[in-house]
Amino acid sequence: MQVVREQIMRALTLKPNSLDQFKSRLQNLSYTEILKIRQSERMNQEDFQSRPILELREKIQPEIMELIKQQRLNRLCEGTCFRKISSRRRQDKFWYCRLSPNHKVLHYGDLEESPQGEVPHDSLQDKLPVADIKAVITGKDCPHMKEKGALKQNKEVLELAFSVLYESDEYLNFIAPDKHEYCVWTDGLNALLGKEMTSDYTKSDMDTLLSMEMKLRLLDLENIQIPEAPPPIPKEPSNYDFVYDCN
Amino acid sequence: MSRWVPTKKEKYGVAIYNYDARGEEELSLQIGDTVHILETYEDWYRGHRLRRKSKKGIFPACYIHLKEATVEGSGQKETVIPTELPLVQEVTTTLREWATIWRDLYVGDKREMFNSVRDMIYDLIEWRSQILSGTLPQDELTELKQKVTSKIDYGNKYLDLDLVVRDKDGNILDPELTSTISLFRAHEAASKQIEDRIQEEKSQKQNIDLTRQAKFASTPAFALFVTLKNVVCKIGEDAEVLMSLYDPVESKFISENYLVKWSSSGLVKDIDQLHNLRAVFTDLGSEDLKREKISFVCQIVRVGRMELRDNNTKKLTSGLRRPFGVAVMDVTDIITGKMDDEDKQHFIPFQPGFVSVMVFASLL
Repeated sequence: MQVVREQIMRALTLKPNSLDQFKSRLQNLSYTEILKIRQSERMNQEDFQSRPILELREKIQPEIMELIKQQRLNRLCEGTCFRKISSRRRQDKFWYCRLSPNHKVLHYGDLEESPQGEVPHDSLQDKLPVADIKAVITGKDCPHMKEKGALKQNKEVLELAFSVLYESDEYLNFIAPDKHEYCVWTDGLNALLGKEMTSDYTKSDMDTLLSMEMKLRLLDLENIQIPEAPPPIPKEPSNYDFVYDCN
Repeated sequence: MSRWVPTKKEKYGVAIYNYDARGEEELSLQIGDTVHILETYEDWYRGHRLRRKSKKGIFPACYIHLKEATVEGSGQKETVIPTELPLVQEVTTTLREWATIWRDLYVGDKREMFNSVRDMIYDLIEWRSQILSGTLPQDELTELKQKVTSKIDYGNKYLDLDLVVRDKDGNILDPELTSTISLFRAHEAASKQIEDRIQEEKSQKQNIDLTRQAKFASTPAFALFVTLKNVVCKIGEDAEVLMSLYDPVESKFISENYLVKWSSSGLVKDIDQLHNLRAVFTDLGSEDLKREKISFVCQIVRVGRMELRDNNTKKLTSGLRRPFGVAVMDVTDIITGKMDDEDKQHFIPFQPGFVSVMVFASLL
């Protein structure tokens, strides 16, 4: 019965001019078609953007951002193996960088070859306190991208380059192994500095996590009409003598 | 109506709009929050959110869409249970449980699992909506229920959660009304079914050698059978031989001890057990098979004098349990099924002392 009602309603919203047109519209809106429409509407439920849902999204966003930040910092604590910057063809020297578990220090050091397992702490001799970091620079603004040589022309490398500025004019220069690591490190370093995480990767993670969170929050509103405007708030009750008074 | 009165029918509802509390007595609500309503007065309700019971407060009745629920208990101890299809309820609780784990997978950067669980959650959300829509014909609904229950069971197994035991129609078996044997049979069948599905999915993703998994696929738990043949040992006093399984990586014992009392004459104390010293280490789960290493440990405890050479009869002590030696054998290959373990005897030397043990171990 519900499906039949919906078929008629949907056919009428298309404003048919004649009965024949109405009939043909009805035929197009078969049972399976109605189910498909319902499914797509359900999947995009939060895209209808009614005001309370938008407000809820706004409220949830900081929690999700905190989750993303946590994930980025965890990845920095695991560390990454970077290639040594060299204008020569063969780049077979590596260095490793990782954040200390208390998020206070960046440990780094040279490696002979790409690591297979976990890199032991004592093999990373150099360290840079996070408090000394002044800024994170990306792309063509990095000092190692301004130098003359093959790197400058390479657009791919340019998109993976970032530097950490510390003290007055000292830099720690990175070329990420891939776009994913680039986003993780730039996000993580920005998070450490209390700045916004702005990578594409953060945007897509935010969409994924927020979309899921919204769907789960609205589970109990299945088949319930959400009002467009807030319902009027009644005047305050004349007394607060509750039956169950203990909170 | 001049005072607050406990509600009779209006017991449970869902917030249809965000409400920000304007005073201490009020309760803030977010759209989608479920509430347990305790009392009502004028156009207000008083109650608490279902997922945060400690904070009670008042909120406008017009912000709540009432739903049917059954009430258990009364007064302060009152609880509400939404009157939904049991399957819909199960899906809802499953989704919330999985979502928490899903977030942890994200933070732990377990990308592959994160994506798999996301797909499973989306499937369940969609199927739940279809069931609630009430538009499915009976045959499709039955088929969908089957899909939902198998997805829940598969997901629980994938996430190392408890297995839900069901009847053939997919309904959860009530342990109060089901015999132990029926429960066990159902558990075994479900376990096998899920294991087969996991293997199927794995082999689809990458065509790997499944012989070892196949060997264990049908068994939810394993047992190691051990026979003690002899303790070649010059102790000169009674002793206790304690055998157990040990994880050297985690440095912890993973089984209870099998105890054999050995006499000073070099034979088992209870002579009737002479060729019958057998033990089965039961309930080794799939988690144990994943362990990097498993050792079989034999500890010998001497029972007698404080000092073995103590001949002073005046201060002669007796009945004291003193550690004497230990023997260890790596049984990882036997337990994981890599070694053909049929009727093999193993000779395990002891440290320190001139002791060795002969055992025969086999995975059941």
